[in-house]
Amino acid sequence: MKYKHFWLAFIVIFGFAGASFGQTINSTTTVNWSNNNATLLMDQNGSALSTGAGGNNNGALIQLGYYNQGNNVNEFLGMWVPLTGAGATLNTTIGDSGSGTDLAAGRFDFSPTTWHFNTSNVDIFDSGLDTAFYTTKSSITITSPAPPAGQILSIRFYNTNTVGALTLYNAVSDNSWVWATPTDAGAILPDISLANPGVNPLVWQDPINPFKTTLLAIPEPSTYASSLVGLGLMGLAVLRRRIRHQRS
Amino acid sequence: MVRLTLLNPTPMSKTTNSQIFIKNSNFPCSPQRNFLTSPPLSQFLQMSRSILLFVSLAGVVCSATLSAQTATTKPVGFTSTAVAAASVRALALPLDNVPEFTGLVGTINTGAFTIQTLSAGWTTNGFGSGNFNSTNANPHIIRMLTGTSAGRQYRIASNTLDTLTIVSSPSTGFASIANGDQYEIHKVETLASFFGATGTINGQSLTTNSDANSADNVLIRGASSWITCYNDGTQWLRGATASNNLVLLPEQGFLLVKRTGAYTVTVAGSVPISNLVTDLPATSVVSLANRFPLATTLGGLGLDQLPGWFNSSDANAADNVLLRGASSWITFFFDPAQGSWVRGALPNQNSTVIPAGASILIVRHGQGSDIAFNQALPYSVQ
Repeated sequence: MKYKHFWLAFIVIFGFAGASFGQTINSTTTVNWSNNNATLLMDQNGSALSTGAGGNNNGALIQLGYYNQGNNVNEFLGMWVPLTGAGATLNTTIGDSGSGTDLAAGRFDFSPTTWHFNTSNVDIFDSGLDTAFYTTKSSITITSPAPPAGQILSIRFYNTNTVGALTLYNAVSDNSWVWATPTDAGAILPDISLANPGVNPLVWQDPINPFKTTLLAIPEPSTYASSLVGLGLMGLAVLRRRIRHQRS
Repeated sequence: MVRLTLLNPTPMSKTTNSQIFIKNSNFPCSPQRNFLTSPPLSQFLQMSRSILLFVSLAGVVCSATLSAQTATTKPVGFTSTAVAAASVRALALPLDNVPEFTGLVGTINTGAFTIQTLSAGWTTNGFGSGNFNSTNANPHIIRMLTGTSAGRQYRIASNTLDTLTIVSSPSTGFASIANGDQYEIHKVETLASFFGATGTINGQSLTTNSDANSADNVLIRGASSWITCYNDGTQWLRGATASNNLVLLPEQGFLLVKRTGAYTVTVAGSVPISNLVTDLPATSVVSLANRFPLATTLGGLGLDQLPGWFNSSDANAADNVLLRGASSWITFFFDPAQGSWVRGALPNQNSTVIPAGASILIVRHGQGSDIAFNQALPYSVQ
């Protein structure tokens, strides 16, 4: 318990340095987030989520983000705001690694992930240390109030690379996974590790099926529109078939 | 007789001890106490129980210089910094591992990033190979001692019997190296070599745990953020990635997050004998080591005098120096209106001490230009 308290104090320390003079172009927030072989993420059938073809960005989508009304009573309240893997950019996906060599199916390790103040660009891995470093997108521009300091974070993972009409997901959170505003000295969040959730237990959006993608995802607007068009065409086809059937 | 003379004495921090030993130019290979303690330093520094360590280091010097083209005389010693429980310290390695080779550039090929020294007699890849920070378990650097690039250092990617290949990036100043320039080769520390592969070394142990939030952490500055590392009792990790070979470069500081129990960080090795150059890009956050084993001050660093360093009364525009205080970072900047380094509204902070073995954070907001920070030796080696 005291470890956690000290670590939280450490975050405040880092945050305070930047708060003295506000945020600048150098201000960052960083976190490591990972799981291990004992905490693999799986699809609805219990198969470890796919890493896709060799290399990064082609496995099952996984995002770090938050629910905009989430709190320590209900972490999954409100709209999902992805802070990585958002939009039509390089997705953060299962199996990605700093070397570009896939981790095992169901594994993720984004150490480190860094947000920069006043931009939606997010560094995945370190450009100096990792040959497979890449930049992904947050759905929002990181500012001082967004995400709010202390906002509880969650990990959302899907059974496909992009979110479509039939994509399933689940989300996991922990009350100690909290956001800190970027600072020049570099705000650092506590490690997010499914293997070591700390004093607070992991909380699942579908608690009956932890580690598994079981909930129907709502596609992002662009995908949603194409899905609607698809559904519309299907409906039209059915209607025409019915009309043809009635005429005959 | 070799004499080390302190040029600008600065009081040592009370939590940092250091001791510099000087050996003479005819230093024999037998483990005798053939050294002198520098008189100018002794008034500031305390003696410590490190004679055996010194003797063993001296032995390394002797065996290493046998194969070198140029016999050199290197002062050796140690610094130690106490890190209390439940604290965060910004640290650095102000002493180098004893040079394993000192020589002259025979032929430089700037396109191929190679330096050849005929008859060097090296063992192939004896200075390590593989990727720095990942697969290279024996990383070395080459530091230029003379010439236009004196004080710069480069990472060695591999070597043959007489040719070094350096890592192509970063390699600022490599093209300015000329035939005949003198250099030395040092092993650089990794997390495993400096803190122990299992977090225990020289009778001291870090707190290890499979949970990074419970283990002690070592934070290394990456390209744009801190890389958090911890030891689970069997190896070093960042996230779930094995990281025994992450390097602790001489020019770079690191943070030690000590959760429980005190720890004394002891750095043993040879004293830098040349000027030292560190790049400070215009828009960057750099963890900068106090590169010499002596305390200095904000004014003594002279950053505000450098072309390209941006001074302003606005802390958010000015280039900043952040010192790690007892529990937080403390921001300083040079205010031209005050004519001094300031901390918030407090002027006249020029004499703020940066202890030996400490590091600082340089935050450059992009108003200035790239700087090659060239630090002269704060002592003379005669």
